[in-house]
Amino acid sequence: MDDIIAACKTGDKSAQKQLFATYAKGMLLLCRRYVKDAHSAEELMMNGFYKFFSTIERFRYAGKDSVGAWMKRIMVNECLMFLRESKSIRLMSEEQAAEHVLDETVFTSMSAQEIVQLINQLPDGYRTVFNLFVIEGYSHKEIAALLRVSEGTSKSQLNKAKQTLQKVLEQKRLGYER
Amino acid sequence: MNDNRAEETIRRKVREHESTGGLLEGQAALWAALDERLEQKPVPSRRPFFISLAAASVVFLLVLGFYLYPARKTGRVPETATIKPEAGRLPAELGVQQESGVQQEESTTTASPAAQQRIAVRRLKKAKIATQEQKESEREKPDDPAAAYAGLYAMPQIAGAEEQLDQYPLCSQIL
Repeated sequence: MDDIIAACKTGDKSAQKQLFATYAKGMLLLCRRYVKDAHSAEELMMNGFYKFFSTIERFRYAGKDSVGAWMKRIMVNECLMFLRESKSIRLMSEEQAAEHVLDETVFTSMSAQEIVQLINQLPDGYRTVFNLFVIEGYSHKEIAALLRVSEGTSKSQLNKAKQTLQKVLEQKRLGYER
Repeated sequence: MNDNRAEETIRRKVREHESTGGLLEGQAALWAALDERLEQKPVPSRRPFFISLAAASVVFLLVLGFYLYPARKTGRVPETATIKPEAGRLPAELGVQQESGVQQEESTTTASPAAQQRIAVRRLKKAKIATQEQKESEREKPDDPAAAYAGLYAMPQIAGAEEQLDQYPLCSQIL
């Protein structure tokens, strides 16, 4: 991977193509988690790759994971920018509910695709905070800075997201039982 | 960090799902589009600089041409030129003392060339008048004060005047 990155830095087309082929699918799935519209998600993924290759001179290779991590960061930023511009996320501080804990056993039995489908049912604001905290692993402080909200808002949005997920799961379970 | 086990499970599963490589639908077309965009990338970053540099040079030369051409052709200084107040020099050359107030008021470099020219003409006229007056006063005033006095108070020689004076003894005494 180090060689590919070094070649990309010199503008090698085949290296760029190889990198694109390796990460394109995963990055598109990531964008789809934030932006429901398939066309917009594809556009954001392309913008992310363009930025990645345009700024690759600044990237310092620190193992294979560093490439994916940096690329993900770019993609997440692209998605957040898109959501901010389209004003689809309006995060308001909601009453701080008691910390909600999700039932692990339900998720263990679910496939990744099912989980993603479940997350996609959340409203934009809840989904964004849930994605950033649970899947990307950002702290509430980082989320607050990224979304320009308070840490309290980020926490309350996450709790609301978890509550909503639990409700959806219960409705599904009831549906199966009937 | 998040220690919730359900969250850990979600994170692991989703990340695994997204890190699984594979061919994306329409990947070749997407790559072609991206490649085209990347090809165009260095051009817009450099071209405007050279274009703007060339455009700036052309504009500069044009302005310089327009600036210098009228001056060369007519011998006049273009309106945009900064003119030193030559008007202020003229009276001094002619040996006329200049009023300080006038100099302060008129020797401004911000006046338009036409105004400068008018000022110069006015000063020249003033200087000429002053010189003329000076010459006239010099002509009227002789060098010898005694002669001047004699000339000034000389009585006209009238025939038979003395005889007439004799008729008035008081006047004779006074004279």
